[in-house]
Amino acid sequence: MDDFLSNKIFSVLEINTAVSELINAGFPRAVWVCGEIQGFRPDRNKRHIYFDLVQKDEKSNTVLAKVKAALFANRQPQITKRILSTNGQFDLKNDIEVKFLCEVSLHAPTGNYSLVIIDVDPVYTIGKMAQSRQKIIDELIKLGIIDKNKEVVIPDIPLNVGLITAYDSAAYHDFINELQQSGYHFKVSVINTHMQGKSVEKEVTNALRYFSSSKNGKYDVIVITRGGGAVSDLAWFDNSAIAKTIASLKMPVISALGHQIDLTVTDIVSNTTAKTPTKAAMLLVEKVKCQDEYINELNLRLKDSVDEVIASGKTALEFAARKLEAVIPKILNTSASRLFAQFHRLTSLSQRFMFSHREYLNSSFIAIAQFRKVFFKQEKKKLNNYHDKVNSFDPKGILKRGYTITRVNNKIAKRMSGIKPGDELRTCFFDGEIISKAEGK
Amino acid sequence: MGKKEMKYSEALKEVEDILQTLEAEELEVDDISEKIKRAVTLIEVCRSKLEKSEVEVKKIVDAFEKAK
Repeated sequence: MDDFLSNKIFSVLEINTAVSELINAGFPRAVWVCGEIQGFRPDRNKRHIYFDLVQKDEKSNTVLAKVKAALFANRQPQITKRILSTNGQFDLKNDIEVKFLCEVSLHAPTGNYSLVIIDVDPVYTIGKMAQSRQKIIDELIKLGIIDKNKEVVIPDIPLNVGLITAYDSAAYHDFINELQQSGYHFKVSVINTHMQGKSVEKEVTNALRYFSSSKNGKYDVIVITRGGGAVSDLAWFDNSAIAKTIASLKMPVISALGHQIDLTVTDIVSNTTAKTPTKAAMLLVEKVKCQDEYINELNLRLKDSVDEVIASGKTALEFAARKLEAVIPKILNTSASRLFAQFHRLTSLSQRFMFSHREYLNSSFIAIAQFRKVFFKQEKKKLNNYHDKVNSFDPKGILKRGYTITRVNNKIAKRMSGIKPGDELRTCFFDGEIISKAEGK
Repeated sequence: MGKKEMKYSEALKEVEDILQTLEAEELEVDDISEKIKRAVTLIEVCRSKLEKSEVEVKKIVDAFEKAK
């Protein structure tokens, strides 16, 4: 053999064929291979499907190894049959762990080594998914956060909705239509996200954080929804990061991921779960409606009680008015008689006052009148007396008695000496003057 | 005599002064006449003042009596 190999010169085809034969010899039967599907692109125009099977490092998630896989058209009916038997829990798609029965082959013309798929074991994948799902649930329980979002209360009037869904999808329209038909003024902001595939985790967690941040407006509730689609795609919502984000929110999350049997981890951790987008919308509408009715009822009750208060107030007022009507004359009577008494007192007081003052004035007046009489009488008497006295000094009185006054040169002549013969003498009698001349002594 | 009218009491006082002078002193006849003339005039003034005021007081008293 060694000689054979050392002496033999292979053409490329020969070496490929030789390796192919060796592989066939080494893998006489098909073998089970498990790995993650990558590069899976089903194309209706191509009969055969090619993709990669990848092995990743569990911790770092980096690719450790990869191999090409081929699903030929002749094997596809068998595979389809297997998939259908799982009621949609399983489907061939990227990023899922699968277990294939494969023939290991090398295509001599190209030298490409690949796995030719003969059969698939969906139970393996379902089991893996269940396992990973359970792992996430266990972790959430351990962390004590699995029911955190259920503790958040959905506001009574959840009109501001943050919607996470594939924009323009059937789910989107179902949800929006239902809200619009209610007639209530819902305000919906949408963040467009993938609802399957690897980007679900990142897009959904980002959207959740966006709606819960107060910087981006005030939302009452976040709704995550998707339409029918493949049941197998639900597995994207068995996601630890999404679950932990929901658990950390102070805002209620309603999930409506469109599934019938099993809940995804997202559903488990959400505040409320609805089966369809329409039902999620109905839930919100129902809440608003309930509150609306409650307010209406309160309104009616308020109106009733206001009416009642007004009616009873009216009765009380009427009663008071009647009472007052009866009492007022009495009050007026007593008031009037009191006033009357006061008036009497006042007039008698003032009369007394006036009387006493009049008495005083009268007596003063009499005194004055009397004084007047006495005064004038006295004064007259005094003047008469003075008059008499003055008169008594009048020389005329003496002249009447026969005395005369003689003047020389206008001077009274008291003695004889000093009067010369020829001097003019003026002799004054009581009734007149006479002029004479001195002739001798 | 006075430029402004004398008061009753002033006039009366002057009369009394004149009387005192007449009683106390030996006066010349002419002076006496002057004094007497003056005194009589003053007495007349006093009389007229007294009469006038008596009439006035009477008026007041009558008015008061009437008001009473």
